[in-house]
Amino acid sequence: MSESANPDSPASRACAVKILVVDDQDDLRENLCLFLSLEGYQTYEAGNGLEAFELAQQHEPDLILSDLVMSPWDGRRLIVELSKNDRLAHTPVVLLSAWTDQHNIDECLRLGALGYITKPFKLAQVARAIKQGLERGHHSDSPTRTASECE
Amino acid sequence: MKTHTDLWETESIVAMLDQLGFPKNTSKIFTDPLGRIVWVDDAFVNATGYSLEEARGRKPGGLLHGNGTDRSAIKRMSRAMKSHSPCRERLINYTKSGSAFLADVEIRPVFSSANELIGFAGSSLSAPAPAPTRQPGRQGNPALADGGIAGQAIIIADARGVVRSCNRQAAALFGYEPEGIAGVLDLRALHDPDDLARLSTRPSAGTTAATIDHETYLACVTAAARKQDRVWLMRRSDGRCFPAALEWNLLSGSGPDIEGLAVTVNPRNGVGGTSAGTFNEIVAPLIPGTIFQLRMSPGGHFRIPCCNMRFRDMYGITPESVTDDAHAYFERVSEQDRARIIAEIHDSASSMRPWQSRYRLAESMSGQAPTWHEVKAVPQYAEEGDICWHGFIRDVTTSLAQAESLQRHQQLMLLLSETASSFIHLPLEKVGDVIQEALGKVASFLDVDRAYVFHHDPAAGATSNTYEWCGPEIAPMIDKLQQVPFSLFPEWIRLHDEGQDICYPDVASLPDSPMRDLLLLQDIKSLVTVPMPSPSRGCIGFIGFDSVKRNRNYTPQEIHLLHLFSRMLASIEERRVESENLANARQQIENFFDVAIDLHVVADLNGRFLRVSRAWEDLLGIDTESIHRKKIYEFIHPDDLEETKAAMSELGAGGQVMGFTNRYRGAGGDWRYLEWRSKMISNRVYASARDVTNSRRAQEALASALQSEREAAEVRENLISMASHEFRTPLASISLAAEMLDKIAGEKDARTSRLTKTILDSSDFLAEVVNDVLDYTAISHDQPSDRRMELDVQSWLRQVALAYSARHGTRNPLRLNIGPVPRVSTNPSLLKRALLNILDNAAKYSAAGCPVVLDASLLEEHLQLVVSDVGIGIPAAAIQSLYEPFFRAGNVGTIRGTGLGLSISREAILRLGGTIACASNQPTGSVFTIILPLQA
Repeated sequence: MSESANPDSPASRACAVKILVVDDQDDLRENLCLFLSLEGYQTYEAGNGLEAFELAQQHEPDLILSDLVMSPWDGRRLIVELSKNDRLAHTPVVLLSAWTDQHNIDECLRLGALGYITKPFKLAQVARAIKQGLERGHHSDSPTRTASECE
Repeated sequence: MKTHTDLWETESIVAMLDQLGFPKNTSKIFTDPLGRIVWVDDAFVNATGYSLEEARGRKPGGLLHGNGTDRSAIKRMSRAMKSHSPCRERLINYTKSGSAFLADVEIRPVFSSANELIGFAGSSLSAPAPAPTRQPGRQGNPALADGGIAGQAIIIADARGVVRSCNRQAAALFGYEPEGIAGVLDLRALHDPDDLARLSTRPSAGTTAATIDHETYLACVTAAARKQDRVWLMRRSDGRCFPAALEWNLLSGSGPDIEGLAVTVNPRNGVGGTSAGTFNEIVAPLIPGTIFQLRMSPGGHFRIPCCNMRFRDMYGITPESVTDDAHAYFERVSEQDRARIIAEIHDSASSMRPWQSRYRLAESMSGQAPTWHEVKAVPQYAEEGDICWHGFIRDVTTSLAQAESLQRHQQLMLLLSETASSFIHLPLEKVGDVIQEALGKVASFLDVDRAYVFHHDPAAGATSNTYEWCGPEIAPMIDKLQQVPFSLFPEWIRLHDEGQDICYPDVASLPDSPMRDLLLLQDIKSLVTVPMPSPSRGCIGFIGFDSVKRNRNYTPQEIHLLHLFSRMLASIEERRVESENLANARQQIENFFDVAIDLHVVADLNGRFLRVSRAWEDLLGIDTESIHRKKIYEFIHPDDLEETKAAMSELGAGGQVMGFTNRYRGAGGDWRYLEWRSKMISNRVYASARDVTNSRRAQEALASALQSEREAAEVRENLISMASHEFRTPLASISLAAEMLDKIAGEKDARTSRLTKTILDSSDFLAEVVNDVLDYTAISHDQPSDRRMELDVQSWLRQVALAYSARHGTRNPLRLNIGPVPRVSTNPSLLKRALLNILDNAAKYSAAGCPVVLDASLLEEHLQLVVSDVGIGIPAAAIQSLYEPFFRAGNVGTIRGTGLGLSISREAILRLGGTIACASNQPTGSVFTIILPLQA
């Protein structure tokens, strides 16, 4: 959809870490991207899973921040398709969703999500999750999943 | 030449002997001083067989003595003669022909006037006389038979039992030479040893003839022989044995001791042949009565010249007294029969047919039963125009009485069996009449005055007269003998209970007792009562028979038959009671079938209704009679037919079917659900059904209501879940936007920052409300057992404490006091949520710095968790409503809260099987106590 980077941010100094933000709610997606670019990340935006998958193939982001319920392709489908793709299989995915029931969360983590943040969230949570996700993605070829802070 | 004996003229010798005074019936001899025979009389010649000529000049000893002659007697005689003394001896002498005979010999010296011995005079009494005194075939008096018949075998023994001599018959009988016996054999050796052994008073296996000493032998044998009650078994020299009667004569000497024995041996059938004498001796005593000869002269004079000794026993008169005149005999015949039997004898005489008759004896004691004699005698013509009957008479009193009593018992038996057969197939209502009739028949037969039946009433402890028969002029007692208490005659009842009869032939002779008084009061002289035993119920009563007019004796046989009668009545009564019970039971079943609400049915295995209860009429709308002819399948819903048939075959296989339900077409055409309980017993199906249509429909309605409720709850849950999602999404936008606004503008403008903070707080609170509502909904529908696990309470509580710190930091520090607690099986996430809510509250309503304390301990197999704070506390009035959703106490002030936390906690604790309670001391703080089972 779009890509942006804040050259002054710390992330940009870290040589443009690429984060793909996926959400069908525009304001939320745009504000998140704004926050991330302020933090120095290069961001890409997608409105659904399918679009996100195409963008990911194109740009190979370092981390994907995705909503769960979207169409076509929801967050789960996106994770499954990524895991089938050789180049993208190890891309860490942190989910953001208004669905809070534990079954749902457990299932997503089992599918391969690195974290799950329930809406509404604090930006601090997002920052912490991205940090953890990037460390995991950098230091491990087979990323172990870690439960996000859902409380 | 004339010998010196010639000096003696016969006449002068006879005259001289006469002077000596010897008994007239003896034989006499005269010897010279040297003992040589000078003269013998005719009696001597007859007794010895020696003529005067043969005897003259010989010594008597040389003539007469033999092997059997007692040597000591001979010595004593010769000593006496030498000393010119008289002597007397009994000794065995022998005739010229060799026959032994017993002689009582007396010898006296004869002196001249000058006192000079001129000779010896001897006299001898011969006994037994070896003369043929009786001839076979001639009728003597059999009872007087005293042995001594010519040709009998005689053995002479000395006092020690050594055989001294025997006659030829004896020698031949035993197979010895006459000389071979004398001095050699012991008498005991002539017996069969085994036979002799039986004499021993203490017989033992080893007893033989040799072991019986002579004295014992003598005592036993002589005693037995005198009684003539024994036939001995004798033994010949060749070892063959033969039976014989022995006749003993003791030969006494001058002193008290016996000198010897003369034994007459009469062989019985076989060896020695029989004689009329033997026949009379042996057979006559065996006949149960007397044998006799009755003679009637042409002039009509009766005499009984001959009969045996039993005659005396039977008539109390001696045979001699009727020898010449039978008058005494006829006197003994009862007057009632005397003329008759004399007429009968005359008839027999004229027809020459046997006289056969019975007659009574003249009664010796009044009141005694008469003695009956039976006579049978055959007439024949005799000499001098007499008619002579030979015959016997026997006592038939006992056998007549037995025959009569047998006949009576047969009659009574017949009566009872007739009665018994009349009871078979008798309609119950006629039983009473038949009992009454039978009672009368038996009573008449027994010749009693009253007969009765009593039936016990065990419940009342009394007995009642139920049937009574009274003879003529006898007053009925039945009305007075109703409900007579057992306690009046307990002994009576006890004996009857034991199956014993009670028989009082003479009531007056009973010992004094209330019972006796009671019986005498009713003029009862004799009575018998017999219990009626029932196999199942013990003694159910008794039957009885009274004699009022005279005493009545009962024979054991009669009483035995009365027991039979009584048992018969008991079994009839039993049958009557059983039939009544059966009828009652049947009626009860009828009644229940009539009133039962449920549908009872008896059917066969083909499904045909045999019997249905009245309730079926209402169900099917058909009367019961019509139902009875139909099959159940006619009424059953087509869809239920297969299952119903399967259930029937299950029943047929001997099972029972419970809770089976099928549909019947009801009276109104609708289908009614019937629930069945059924069982098969002896090819009949017993079933009870209940119309469950209404409850089934109610059940269906309830199930569908439940289903709608469940669906509604699901919708509600989804709705809440959806709503919560729909809330969160914009909340996320608001929250993010506010944060970004604060980030971008708030740093520069304090007012913007304050405003964004308000937005953030409100959105946080809204998120909290949404969370709580969702949690509460989830917990209400969650099943705690789903995620149960074993908890180590200590480490788990530390995790809770960490979570607490994460939420509250150090504002209100949490203090843990964990006692020794075991592991707990529970749902950790539910429990954590419950506990954290309470801890949150404690922190939230406490001033900063005030600690929150959590105690954990084991309390009677339960885990107890206590959370206490020193916060604002809870007003007492609020405690009751504390757990209601959205309830908040009045003192919370501006502190934010959803009012759902405690509801969630309580719901969770209840789900885990625990309890939660709150104690509050406003304003010093609250104490929440959670108690959990160790196994949720």
